[in-house]
Amino acid sequence: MSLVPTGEETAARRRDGLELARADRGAAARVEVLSSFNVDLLPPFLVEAFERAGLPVVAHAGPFGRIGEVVLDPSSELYAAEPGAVVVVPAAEDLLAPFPSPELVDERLAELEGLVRTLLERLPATTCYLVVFGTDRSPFSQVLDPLASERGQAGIERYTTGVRSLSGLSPRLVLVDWDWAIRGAGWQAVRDERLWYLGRMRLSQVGCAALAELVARHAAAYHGRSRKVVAVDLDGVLWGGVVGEAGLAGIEVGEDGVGLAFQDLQRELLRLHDAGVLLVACSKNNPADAAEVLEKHAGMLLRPEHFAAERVNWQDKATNLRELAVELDLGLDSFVFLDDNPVERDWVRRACPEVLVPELPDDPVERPALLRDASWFARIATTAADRGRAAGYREQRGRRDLQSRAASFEEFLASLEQQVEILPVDDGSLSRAVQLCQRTNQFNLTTRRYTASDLERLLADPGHELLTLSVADRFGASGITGLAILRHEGERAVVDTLLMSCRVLGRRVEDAFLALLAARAAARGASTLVGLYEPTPKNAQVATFYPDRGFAPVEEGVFALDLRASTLLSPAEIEVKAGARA
Amino acid sequence: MRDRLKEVLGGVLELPASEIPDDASADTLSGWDSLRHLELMLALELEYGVHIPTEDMLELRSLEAIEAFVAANGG
Repeated sequence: MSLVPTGEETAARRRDGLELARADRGAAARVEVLSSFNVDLLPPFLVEAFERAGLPVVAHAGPFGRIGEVVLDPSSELYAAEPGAVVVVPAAEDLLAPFPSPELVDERLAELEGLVRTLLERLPATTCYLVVFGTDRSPFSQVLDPLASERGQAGIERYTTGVRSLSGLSPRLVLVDWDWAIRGAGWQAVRDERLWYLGRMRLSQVGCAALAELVARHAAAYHGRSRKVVAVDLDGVLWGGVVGEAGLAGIEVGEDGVGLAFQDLQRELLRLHDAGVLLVACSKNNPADAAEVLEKHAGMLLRPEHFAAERVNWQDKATNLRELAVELDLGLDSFVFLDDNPVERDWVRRACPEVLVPELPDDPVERPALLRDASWFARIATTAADRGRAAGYREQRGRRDLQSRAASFEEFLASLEQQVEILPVDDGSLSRAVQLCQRTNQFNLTTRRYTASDLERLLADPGHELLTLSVADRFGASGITGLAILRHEGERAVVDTLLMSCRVLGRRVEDAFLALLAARAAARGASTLVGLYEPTPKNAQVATFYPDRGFAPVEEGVFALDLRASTLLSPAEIEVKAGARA
Repeated sequence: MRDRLKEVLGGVLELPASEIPDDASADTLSGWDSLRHLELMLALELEYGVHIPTEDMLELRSLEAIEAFVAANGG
């Protein structure tokens, strides 16, 4: 979807936003906007765009041109409102007037960094979205040399680069690069000179709708709302033509002509694969024909090893997608489905409304850009776990083969040569821990969707212990696939959170993890370990996790283990390493 | 024409069109503040396909004046 909407779309979004703002939405978080120019037109668009991203909010624009005063004054309305998110919009043209000399730029950047730090410190549970807001207008463009000092372009670029470089300041700071994002449509499309002169607004209504859309896309990614799987049809999507009719030599994919468009689409899919999006095939085809193309065709970039799973058969595609969801242990709401046939798209939309089924342009040359610009899979940054995810699914296939050969379950476990590493959460693992909280559905005892700010708060509290679990075996390392949060309350210790990625389940790793938690609790003087189970539509498989391990029910969803009377044994087949991070 | 104008004005001010009197103006109608005024001008442009120059934006502060402008500019 294009970032900049039409006038009609803009008007409709404003109406929807106002309607949402009028409705009573108790749980809605507050979004506060601090801008160097007037953004009074923005709030309804923010409400609408966040709502579409699955995040109900109310939005409010603070007094413009006073970012510093509002942030520095501890009694300002900003702090009283305790917003869930603050959007900061420091426009280059406002901050760098009258002329962006290097000295002024550096001074303003230092101020901005100080303000962001103060804001994050005083609002310890708030996410800050900092907008990189440059300009396409140099102060004196009659001088054409881009580096001429009187032109001012270098100063503006120094400023935008400087704002971007604040990105590492905190996991709660999200950079929203408006300056880069608006290049496609152009600044001309989002300005209205009349609004500047009458109201000191640097963005038209259309511009406000676009900025709101961009911020909401970042918020969705920050809150883990992005899709995780791309399911692709084969004939007509990965290559031109039907392999069953045209044969290996007759299909179109490679470096020449339109074949390059198909190859470029594969290039985009490969990038997604490398960033941790799972690629699966869902196609009506003869499996042997499809396999031949994937293995042998010289023009193909995608090979069998890039696919986490596949359904190449003559079943209907909705059934195939449901089976793929079960195989990958993911919900259908994680899927995007690409098919060139409008009938198939329509059928999947009806049968599996959770699956996102974009309109695929008929002309294959339009498709690579569609995939490149889409925000379906957007994430703030990729973690090591993202990059290794596809490999993990391949290793999983190897383990399944081994399990079918082993005589007994114990023998299988021993043959895996599993090593478990349990470490305290630190800066390096925080983003992965947040990701696990946001994503894990099935093996998740309490399903508490902690954000980065929540986990930072728990980390700062000595009463909480946050531990990650990594598993390695003879097929490879899974990276961080489990998280536990233990709350020490003197006599008792409570397992606030215990979750694990499905990839490592059924191998008794959970027993090793729980045994370690019990040992930690006992070491801190607790006599009772308390386990919680909070049911959701997806976590029934762990309903009896605690009673199965000797915990006694205390009340609905609360189980207790007497640490003096019983010991949880870690499985002998698993080597456990625990300790502090270096 | 007047009814359609009232619909547009009501949409911006979040008021039912029936509650807007014929002599409504920025001076008499509460809620018709400077921000709403700009939003109204933009909504009129979209509804009638007209372009309102800056000076006119400042002056079209009543239903009557708006009606005259739209009629004169072929909206």
